[in-house]
Amino acid sequence: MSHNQKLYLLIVSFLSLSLRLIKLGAIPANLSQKEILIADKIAPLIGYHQLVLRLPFTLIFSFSVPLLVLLVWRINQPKQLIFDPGAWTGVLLTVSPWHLLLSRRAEILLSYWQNLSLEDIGQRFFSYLSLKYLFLSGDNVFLLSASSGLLLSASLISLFISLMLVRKFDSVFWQALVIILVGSALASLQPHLDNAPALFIALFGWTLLSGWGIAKLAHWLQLKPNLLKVSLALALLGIFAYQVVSSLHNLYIHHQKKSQAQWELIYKPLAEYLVKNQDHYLKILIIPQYAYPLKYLNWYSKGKIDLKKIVVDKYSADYQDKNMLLIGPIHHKQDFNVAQEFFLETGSEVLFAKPI
Amino acid sequence: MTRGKKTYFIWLSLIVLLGFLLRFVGFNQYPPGFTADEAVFGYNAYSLLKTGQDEFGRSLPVALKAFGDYRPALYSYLAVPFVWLLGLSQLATRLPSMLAGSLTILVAALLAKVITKNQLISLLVALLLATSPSHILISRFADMAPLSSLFLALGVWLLMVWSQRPKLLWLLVACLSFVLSAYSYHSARVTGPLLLVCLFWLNFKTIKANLKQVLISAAFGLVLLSPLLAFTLKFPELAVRRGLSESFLRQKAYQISAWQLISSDAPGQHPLITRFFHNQAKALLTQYFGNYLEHLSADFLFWQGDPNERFQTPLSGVYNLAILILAPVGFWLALHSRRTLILPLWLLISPLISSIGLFTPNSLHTLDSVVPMTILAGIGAHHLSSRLKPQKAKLAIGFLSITFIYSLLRFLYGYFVIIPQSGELRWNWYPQMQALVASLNQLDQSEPLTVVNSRNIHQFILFYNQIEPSWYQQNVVVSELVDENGFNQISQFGRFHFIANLSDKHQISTRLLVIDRQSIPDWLIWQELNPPLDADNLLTKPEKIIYDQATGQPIYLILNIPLKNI
Repeated sequence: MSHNQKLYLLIVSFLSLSLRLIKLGAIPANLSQKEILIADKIAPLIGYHQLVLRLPFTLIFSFSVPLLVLLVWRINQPKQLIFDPGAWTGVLLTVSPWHLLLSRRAEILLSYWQNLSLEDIGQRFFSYLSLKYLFLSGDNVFLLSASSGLLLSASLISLFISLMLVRKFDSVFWQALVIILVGSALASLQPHLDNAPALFIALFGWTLLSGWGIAKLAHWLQLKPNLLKVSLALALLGIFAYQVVSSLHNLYIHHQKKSQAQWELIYKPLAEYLVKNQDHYLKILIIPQYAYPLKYLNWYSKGKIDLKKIVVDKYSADYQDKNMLLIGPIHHKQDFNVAQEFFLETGSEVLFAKPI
Repeated sequence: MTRGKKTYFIWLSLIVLLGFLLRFVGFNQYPPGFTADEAVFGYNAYSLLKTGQDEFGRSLPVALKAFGDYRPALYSYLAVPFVWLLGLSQLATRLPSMLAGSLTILVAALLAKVITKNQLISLLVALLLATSPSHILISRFADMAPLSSLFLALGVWLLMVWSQRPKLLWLLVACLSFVLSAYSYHSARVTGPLLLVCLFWLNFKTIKANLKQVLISAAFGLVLLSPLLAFTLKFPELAVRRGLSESFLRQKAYQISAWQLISSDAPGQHPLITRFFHNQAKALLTQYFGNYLEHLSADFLFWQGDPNERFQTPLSGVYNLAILILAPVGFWLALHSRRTLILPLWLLISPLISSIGLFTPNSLHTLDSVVPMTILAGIGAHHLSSRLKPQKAKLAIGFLSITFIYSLLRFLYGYFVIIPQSGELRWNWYPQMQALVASLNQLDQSEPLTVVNSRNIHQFILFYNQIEPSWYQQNVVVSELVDENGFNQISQFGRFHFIANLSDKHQISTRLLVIDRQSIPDWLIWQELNPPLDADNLLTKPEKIIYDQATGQPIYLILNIPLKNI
């Protein structure tokens, strides 16, 4: 490995880690349903810290960047980094919207296979190949991107141009294609349409293909350079830089705003309230509007809530015990005798508490 | 003619015949209705035949006023001979579309032959186009898109022939074809010139060597185009009205997402930074490229098809599933030869104008892309079969044949079985309009009636009753007010009064009211079996209920409202 390659790996690893560790415990603000399932199991070991929970996943993802670069270099020994698909893949992964966001979640990305119909598998498979979904609109269902695609659309332009220029496809191209197809097929077997986190294998393939496209284009641009080529290179670099900055702005500002509006966070003020007031009640009845109330309350109270007191039941009318607190979604609220209302940071009123 | 050539032409004729049958058989039942747009083309052809004017009395128009959308008039001109021969009927109205669709198969095959010099590819292209799902669906009803696709394909073929044998006649006819495409459909007015630019660039040497022919043809084309140019220059707003009404530029939905982002920016952020991240140019480009990429999505092209229900066949994409494997190979191969480069370029040009639309992806606006797509698939198939070892080639051919048949059967089942049985999908085809008009004819002819005209029912009254165009031209009253799309609505002719919607019962000035299931107002309660009740529970007597044949649901009502309730 040359000195330049070593230096490149060092810089890419450092940048990847830095971008993924900034405010890791606070961004994204909410603890997703998949995260709480893991958190609930390992909280006694690691304590109740969002940062600590996410850190191992962040490290694995961060190091997947230099690891993928090294793998590509094994297939295709680079001569010059500027024309190397592996090097460009590393750059793209470092600033990639999907990779940055997956790095910040403690989630198991693939779950059990579902017995889907051929129609569903086909629909999902073809949806996952949609260039608009991948490069422009992205994923809003699982919050894997914020007002951008999963991948940077500037890399699509260079990919298109390269596909037109190249006369023979090398092994990097074919391997990227195989990863995309296998990854998309695997994601198609997963529950939920538009399950972008489950698409992570294909997204590695897409990033590799995009890196390949940029490398090929860079190679073509330096052959007999002329004004048109220089202009094209500058324009693409400009668009790429703009998108990177814009993508980071989306992640740290807009995505964070979205995550602050997620229902999971309502358990945070509720947990604080229950820690203070649980001793006044013999039982606490929760109408189950939102998932995993016990797990979230345990996490956000750092284990301080007596879970034995909590009953989760949608038939609240059956309970007439004295010294019982009812926690319910806001549409169950009646105007009298409400002890506390719970709001998200965004100002939306979500839950209420009242003694029965 | 050599034996090989003879066999080729026999096979080609058989495939074209198959294509025609797929576009013709059961034309009265599939699609399950006859749309208002079709009635416009048919009645205007009838009007042109009888008076030389369109339904509003404009002599030899280049654009039909229709619903105030000023659509290209060529379709109606081409329907005139059929209306003359067969009378004003659904068949006469649809025949130009069916024939254009069938001829496109022939032209695409000939174009494939000129480009590839391979008869087998040419026949395969013909077969893929003859059985192409969206092309069949769209060629089975009266629309402008099959015409423009035919004329564009014809123009490209003739120019390719000319580039190999530069005779003036080829170029003049090619010119005529491109001009006709401009007269036939809005999107061809952009696709055609862009194709011409590409063809000129690709055949620059031939053009340079035959400059005189090119100049004569250009002058010929300009003369032919002059009525359209004059119309466009004189009434620019009318010329682009339909295009703009269907454009996202008019509805400005892209601004909403930009505003949402601006509102969630960090408080106190400098306005310049906000503008840097969220500006109109970015929002517009994102929307446009998003729409463009949707046209290239595999889900649209090969699996789910057009999201617009009118142009959608359940279980089928726009193209046969087998093309998914073949076309990318052909696309890549075609990129590297000057002779075939026009095909990928055409495929990329085709969605350019459709992408400014409100409803994307759109198989109707990009119908012409069926020609390059099928030729590219043919090239791909030939490449795979010739490059693979015999054993692998057999396997590949077997797999692709099964995929082709499976996909074709899915389309045929979706089109001929599912659509006619689905109430929602049938509704897009204006079912039972003929029965409604027949019921109106049975009412007292001296009694005026009010039609809630959200379904353009007036056009069906004109069409099915074959109202004398000269009488209609004299008696039609067009509303001065324009609707939300900038279109003018008909307010009255004869005993028929038309209103756009029915928010208030005091809008009704007649005893009889015609209403469809979509336009039912809040003050009427839709009941299946019993007479509808108004909000005051006053009985209104239905003169007639028209039921959907497939679902048995009532879809049109003719009400007799007691005068005391009005």
